[in-house]
Amino acid sequence: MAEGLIMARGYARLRERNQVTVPPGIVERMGLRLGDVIEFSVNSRGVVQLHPAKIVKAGTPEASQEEQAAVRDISEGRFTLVRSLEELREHVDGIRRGETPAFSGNAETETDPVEQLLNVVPAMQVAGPITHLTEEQRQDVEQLLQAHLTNFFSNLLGQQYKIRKHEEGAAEREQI
Amino acid sequence: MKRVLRSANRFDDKLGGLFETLHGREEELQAAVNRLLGGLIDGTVNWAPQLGPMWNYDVCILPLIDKHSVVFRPNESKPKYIEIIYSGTGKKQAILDFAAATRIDMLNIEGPAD
Repeated sequence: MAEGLIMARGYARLRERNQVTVPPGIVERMGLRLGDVIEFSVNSRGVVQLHPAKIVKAGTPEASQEEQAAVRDISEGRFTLVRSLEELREHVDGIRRGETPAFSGNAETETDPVEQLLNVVPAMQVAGPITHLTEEQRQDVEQLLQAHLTNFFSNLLGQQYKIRKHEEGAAEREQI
Repeated sequence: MKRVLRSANRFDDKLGGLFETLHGREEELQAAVNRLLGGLIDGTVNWAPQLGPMWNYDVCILPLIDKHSVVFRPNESKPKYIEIIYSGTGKKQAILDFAAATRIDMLNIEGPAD
């Protein structure tokens, strides 16, 4: 699991109405300013993450970086597929309620390919029937399946080869 | 023309942040999102200014609310015409026609420039 090095750590006590004070070291490290919006999220392993949900100014290098990062998000499967106005309304309602996107993956926490494959399948069921997958998504799934099947059969053939060698060795020893 | 949108998680984060920033005006923002993104899905929105300099060809930008704009990339687009922005610096800006697009990637929400 590649979660990266911890660069700053701090503690805060939960007060009335779920209020916490973000430790100064974290504020400094994240470059937060008064009025910034912070996104809190919890992943499947119970790790809480804080992300500044900053809206950067148009035409700045930061805006360009954000766009490139979003393109990477999509190419690595971190997106929600919206196919109709109904789905759009549901999706935006979900964002307002702070829900996790229906079709999401996290390259930093889902490094195990088998786990990744198992996670993709239920996500697709949420996104809709398999016949409604885009060509790109179908190719991704096919590539993933092919890689795992190749790996599986390679291991199987390797095991059979070892067993055959062992049996041949045993037969030779018996003859001797 | 019906299209699908691929809403990047990062875009959703920005939208969530905007809902928080515009606390008390959530319905207004939701209506604006449904109108703009709905237009991209049902194909009634077919052209938009191209983002940034003219070499950056396939990324578009459209206003959402309070000078906040939505940045997106259609999978098919072609130059429609060149517009000269007289009110600003006099720069030229390309308008892209993405009527043939079948998929649009939602990338970012940007705040007003200085």
